Amino acid sequence: MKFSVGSFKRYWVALLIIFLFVAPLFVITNPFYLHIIIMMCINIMMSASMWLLATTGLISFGQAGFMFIGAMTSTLLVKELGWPFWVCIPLAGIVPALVSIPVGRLCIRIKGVYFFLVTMAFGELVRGIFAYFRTPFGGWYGIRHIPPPEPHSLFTPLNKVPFYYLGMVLTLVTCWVIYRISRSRIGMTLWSIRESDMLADSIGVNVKKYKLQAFVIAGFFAGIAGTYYAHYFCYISPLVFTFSMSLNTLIYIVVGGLWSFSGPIVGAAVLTLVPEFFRATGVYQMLIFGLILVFTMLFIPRGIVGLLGERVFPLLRQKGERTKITD
Amino acid sequence: MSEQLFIQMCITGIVMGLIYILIALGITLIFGVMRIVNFVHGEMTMLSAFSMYYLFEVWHMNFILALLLSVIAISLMGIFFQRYIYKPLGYDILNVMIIAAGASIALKSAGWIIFGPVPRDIATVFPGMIRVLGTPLSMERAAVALICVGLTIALYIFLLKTKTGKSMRAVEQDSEAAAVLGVSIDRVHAIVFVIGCSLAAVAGALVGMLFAVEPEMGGEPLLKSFMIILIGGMGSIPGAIVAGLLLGLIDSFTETLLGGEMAFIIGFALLMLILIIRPKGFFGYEI
Amino acid sequence: MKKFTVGLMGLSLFFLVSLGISQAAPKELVLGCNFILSGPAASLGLGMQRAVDHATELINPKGFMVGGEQYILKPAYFDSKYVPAESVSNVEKMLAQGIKFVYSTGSGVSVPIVEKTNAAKVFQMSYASGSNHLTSDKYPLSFRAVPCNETAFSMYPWLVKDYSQIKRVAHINPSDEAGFTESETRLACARNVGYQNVANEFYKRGATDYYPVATKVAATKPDFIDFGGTIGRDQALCVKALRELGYKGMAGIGYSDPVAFVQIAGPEAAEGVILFNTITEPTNPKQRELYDWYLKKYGPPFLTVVYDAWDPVFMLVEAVKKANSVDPVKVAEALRTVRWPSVFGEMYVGLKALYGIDSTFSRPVPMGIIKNGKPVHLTTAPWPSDELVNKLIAK
Repeated sequence: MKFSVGSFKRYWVALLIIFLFVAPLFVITNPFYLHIIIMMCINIMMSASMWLLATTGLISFGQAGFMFIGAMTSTLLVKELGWPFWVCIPLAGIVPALVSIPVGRLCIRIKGVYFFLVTMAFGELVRGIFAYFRTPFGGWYGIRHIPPPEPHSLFTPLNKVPFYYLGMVLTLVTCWVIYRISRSRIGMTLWSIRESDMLADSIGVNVKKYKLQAFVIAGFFAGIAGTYYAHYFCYISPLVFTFSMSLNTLIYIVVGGLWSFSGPIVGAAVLTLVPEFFRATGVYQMLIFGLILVFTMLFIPRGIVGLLGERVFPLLRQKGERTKITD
Repeated sequence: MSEQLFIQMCITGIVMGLIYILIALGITLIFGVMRIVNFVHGEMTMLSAFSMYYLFEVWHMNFILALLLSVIAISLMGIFFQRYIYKPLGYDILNVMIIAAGASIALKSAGWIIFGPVPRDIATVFPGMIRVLGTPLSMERAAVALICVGLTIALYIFLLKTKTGKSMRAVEQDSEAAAVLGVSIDRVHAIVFVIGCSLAAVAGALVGMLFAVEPEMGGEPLLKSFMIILIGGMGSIPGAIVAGLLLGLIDSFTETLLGGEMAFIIGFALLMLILIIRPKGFFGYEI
Repeated sequence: MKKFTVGLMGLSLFFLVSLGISQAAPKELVLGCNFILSGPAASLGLGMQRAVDHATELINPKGFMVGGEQYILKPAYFDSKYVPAESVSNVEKMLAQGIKFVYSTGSGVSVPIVEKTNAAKVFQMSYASGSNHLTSDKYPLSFRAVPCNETAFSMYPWLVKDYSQIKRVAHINPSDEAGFTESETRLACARNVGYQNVANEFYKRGATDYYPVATKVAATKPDFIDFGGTIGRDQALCVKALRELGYKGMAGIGYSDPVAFVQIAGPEAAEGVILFNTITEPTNPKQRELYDWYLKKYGPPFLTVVYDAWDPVFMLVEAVKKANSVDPVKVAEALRTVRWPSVFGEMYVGLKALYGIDSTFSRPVPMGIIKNGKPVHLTTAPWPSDELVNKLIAK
């Protein structure tokens, strides 16, 4: 029997997706677990959105800022103008994407470590502006009573299941789109840029243009994640979209593994789940999180997926090959 | 705007700028020589302040002695980080950033657990007030300003004149060439960390004396230091000095005249602007 | 194999024993505590945790009877880290575990959960401002366990009475939720007792240097600076800055730990500062008991939040006993009829005039002052009547 890692992965992924869609009906009915999975969806969307950008070597610390812009867009449109949520969702991606074009153009000229610091400045700037103007942005108070998606009778405060499915759909769409992009010409070009800026440039690749595209894509999906957050928690404020959130996104990607697409997904899922085991420890929760981070970086520097790729899959591959030989 | 107010804002700006410069110097030195960003700098400041609190305030040790012990303790901590935490990662800037972020979270939480929530203060060693150009200035602020200036000059002389300083600059410019010429890279790395962390330790003692001592105290100075380093240029000491004074003054003026939030926005807008116009900061290094 | 059998036997024994114990045990009323246990405001959460623990120690030996069954109180602590999403996650976890009573702190994290707790018919009491976003007739199950900006209604009439020299008032508050609420309330009170509001400044919470805001406020030459929602080291550093800049007028702070305040600001700067809504030194046996217990167990300094967090726990148990039920809706109704002798004096649930429903714990307001580097008690101002409240918030 022929056995390849590729088909193994595809088989399991398909199974997982089917399971996740069926789960709330029978298996996972506890609303707290649904809540955790919804948080995972948000985190996965954020880290997937940033991944393409990160593969080009550009580490952006401003993702929370774009998330905030997306959240603010749909919040204001739904609350002030009364537009339906489903119209606002794509807008919540488009507006931050539009903002990211001039911002990206200006920032991409900046190299390496300066890039992450200037995007951090951008993230804080977004927070500062939204915090300064109490109308219409809510100031430090933030904006409350954000209406959930229509139909309101379905998306009630106590019923998590519709939000769960919405989250699943959004996350799958996000991941699928980013996966296709990474496999397409754009993705391959971005990878070559990661390998070497100058080399790519020398063969005629318009490096700046591709980096900007990655930046805009990141902005778009961050906005979508932001609007999902806003209409689930029904409350946004500058306290929410902080530098910590951007940093966490980066941490998910690196701990999960920067080098493959499943990295950010695994990282976000695992790091959303693990702190939950310690939630009841109160004040020790953050301490444990910090220590986990330190030990992860020391002992699995290529991330969880990297570890699996280096240790686990080769073993499986070996088994497969042995079977093949004896056939 | 009255003349008094203007002078007051200038003095406030310069004093705060000098304090941030002290912290920024440590970070920029480490970055210049080792090309990594030491994110736990803020926590080192905090731990030094707590150490000073216990040694000086609670056990009534002599101030200078307490300061010396704190500096040594933090330097040892710095070497520990350099050797056992950053080095195994091969000084990769991204990985170092994340591990330092994790260590910073852990240290802050440990601080809350061990030291408890009540803010403390290191009693001032420089009591009294003086007048500068007709405006009141507390002795302790004046003293802190002078200490910062003194240390900055000392650092500059060290780097320019002494052999160790020169070898540090050599490693900063080209570590391979320096190694070929017989400079012990490991030794230089260790020394850089010792100096950088000592500066953080002294800053911690000063901030603790001027303000309050609590586990969160490292956050804002660290942020301001990063802004200074960005504007002045990573790895450049003259850049940090110029940017520090500039930022201190701008902060002081905007906060007094326009309020804290506007100052927040202006600070970051300025940062972005300067980086866009001059991506490496005033005098910064290529990465 | 042998190890396995032994392990299995041990496990079964363990299960049997715990089964046995659980059958005989009294039932538990779980109080989900959504406190700030890390980050800058952690002193609040920690103090509250200690108070709740001690209250539990005192309540549980006798327990309380509900519907003929013996009950004990069981607190469950969750850290909200002052992050709204974490607070929501905490409440989600509590709801999933079937917890029906929530004790929360911090307006930034208590307000976002109010909709959810009321929709789930869960009782919530919070040490938070948040005005009518926290307590209103829309949220009948949400209570304010400790009056916050509402104490201004006691403070201003008292200032007018005892300090007739005040004419110009300045306000300094942090630029967040709590700060804005305090500012609004205090501006109105000051205006309606006849003061002139000369400054209304906001600073970023946790800022290092207070010279800028102090310079700005001092320049407006107020007689009295009301620090409203400012807490902890922020107040001390700001007062210190003001004195260094030459400000000679009065100042009033609340939500403080007076000893830490004096230490950070320095005894000269702290001299004469009014401590509103603060128990400075124990003035009655109840306060003394609590104070002595705390110092004996944890050593100095005493966290004043312990006084505030203490009585609500007892009031809740009283309400449960009165309602003879653990149904949050019935308990909430009963709570509105409870009158409890708290460490501050008689405590009850009131302020219908302000929020449309009785939901803020009301009691006399102690005032203190720093004299010779030590906090001393001045007087106890009465809780305002409904008409006084209406007069003070008039536009």
